[in-house]
Amino acid sequence: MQLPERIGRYEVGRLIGTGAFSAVYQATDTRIGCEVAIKLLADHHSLDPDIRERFIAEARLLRRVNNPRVVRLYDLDETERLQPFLVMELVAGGNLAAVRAEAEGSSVAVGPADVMTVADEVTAALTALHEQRIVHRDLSPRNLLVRRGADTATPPRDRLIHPGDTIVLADLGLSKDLAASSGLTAAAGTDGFAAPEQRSAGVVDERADVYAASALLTWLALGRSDVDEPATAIRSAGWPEAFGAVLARGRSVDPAARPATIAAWHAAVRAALDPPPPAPAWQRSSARRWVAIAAAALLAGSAAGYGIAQLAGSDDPPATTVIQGDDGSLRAEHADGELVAAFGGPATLTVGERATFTADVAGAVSWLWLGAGGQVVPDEPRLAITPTSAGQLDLALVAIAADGTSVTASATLTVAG
Amino acid sequence: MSVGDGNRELQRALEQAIRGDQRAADRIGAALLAEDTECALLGQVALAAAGGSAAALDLLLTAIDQLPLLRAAIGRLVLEPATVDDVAQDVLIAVAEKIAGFRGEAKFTTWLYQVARFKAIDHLRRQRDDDSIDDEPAPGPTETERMSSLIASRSTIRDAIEALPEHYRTAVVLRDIERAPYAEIAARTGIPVNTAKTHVARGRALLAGRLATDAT
Repeated sequence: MQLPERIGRYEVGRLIGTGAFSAVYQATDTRIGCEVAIKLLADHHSLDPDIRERFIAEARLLRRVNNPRVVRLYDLDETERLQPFLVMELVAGGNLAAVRAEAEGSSVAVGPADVMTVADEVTAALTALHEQRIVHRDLSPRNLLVRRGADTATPPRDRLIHPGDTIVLADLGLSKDLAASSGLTAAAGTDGFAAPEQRSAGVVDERADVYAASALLTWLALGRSDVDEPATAIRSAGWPEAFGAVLARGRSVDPAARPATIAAWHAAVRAALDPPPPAPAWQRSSARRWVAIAAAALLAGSAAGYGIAQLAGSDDPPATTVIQGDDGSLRAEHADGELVAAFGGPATLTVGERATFTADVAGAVSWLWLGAGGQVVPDEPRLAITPTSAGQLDLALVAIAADGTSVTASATLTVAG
Repeated sequence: MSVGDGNRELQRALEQAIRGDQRAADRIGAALLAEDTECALLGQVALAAAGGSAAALDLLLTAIDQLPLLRAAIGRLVLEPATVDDVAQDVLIAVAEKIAGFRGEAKFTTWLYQVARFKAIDHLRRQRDDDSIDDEPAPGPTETERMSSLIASRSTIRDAIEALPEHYRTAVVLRDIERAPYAEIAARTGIPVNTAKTHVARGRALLAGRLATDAT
């Protein structure tokens, strides 16, 4: 394929990859002076209504998700030939398939820490999609890019993914907006990773991504995903038996036999690979009913080292209104139409002293208290906190409506010593 | 008032509007803009227009020009806002010309969506082909230009124009017969320029529909 000199105002550097309908190039934005990735719809497909529509829809989905775990979209434009193209963040670390292949050449072996990191990151990305009722449908090593963190100049030699790296989803080209459709979709996906229900036209939901995530971890651990007996293969490769069992369950042909949500899947993977998490720093009630969406957000966020600011969308202007009263009280509120998440309590806490916060929720079927350390307390009207150290403490309350939409009120509390 | 009562009342209003009752037509026009995404009333109006009612076609074109659904459908394929407007005009004319073929087997919005997709791709194709001839400011005839030539060449045109609602008639005559710029149309009729454009676009679409009906 001949390399175009320019795409729109961008100078093309090299071809990064090709797909069935499009090619991805490394290019330079000469105005700002930065490197970008450009995905260009092929000329002979650009006036095919179905392909063109799907291509443009991908840009709008990327924009809508707007999450650090999904590749950043800078622009959607078209050439003089009316070929639409997406201008995206150039993720320098390359894709996961390349990263793993490179590691195979060296002495780095894939270990539980790598698997857990990938599980954390993929769960975070998929949670962002699933919250918006979007199914990715094409999770595969080539569609996961490694965004290198700042501290990887001298990477630890024993890790595939370094602490501080982020894994981002690169391709929403096959993603399905369940809210805008019946969930009935055409066959699509990458062989070895796509769920069986994607092989023919039929109903696909979030559990297709649970399947693909299980195939991905199988591939990460074994170097290949197309194993007949994942549980056996994983065990004989020296991994914990429980890990193989989780992956086998995630790859059940019947979607109903898989973990129902990516959060539940993640919790099972973590339990299989990791020791139990340390005891919470503050007291919690006895309620145990986890609400899938918000719990997923929490697990994903906390596991990857992101706090509540991340969950609330730190890129956006704060949507929570925090009011401090003259009497030292605080009220945090976030409303979206009928759905209101709010809580009240003391603005300042003291180490070792119990403080109580009260939920004030409207239009919701359920709500969750979220603590900075990764704690979840569902559906409790009041939450008691006894801080163990001075500093700052994030607290959030997620209100969830019957249709799965949610709003989050969050506040940063001061803990006095 | 139950939903059923409301439907019966609107049904009566639609029948009155088809018989030429302007107040009933205004009532239907307002109801069309306030409709939910099912667009049930729009479907009924479309069927009436397909049956040959000029009043129903007028209501139909006005509603789909004002409702967001047409431009949203075009926007799934077309990026440039100006091109979206051009395609929307092409679609209005196509709807006027082809509405007789709408049988109500599919939802009207589905039918409209297909027309919009076809017209969007058609427009993009012509735009691309025009751009490939360097410095040639002679694009192929657009739907509206084709309409103008159609207007000039038909002897039945006077009757068709006479049959247009007055505000559309004035706008179309000024634009397509006197070749007046939109600003002048606006000044002479005392309406904003954008309204003048809208009147010309809808008037042309109505005219196209009537001429297409006459030809058959």
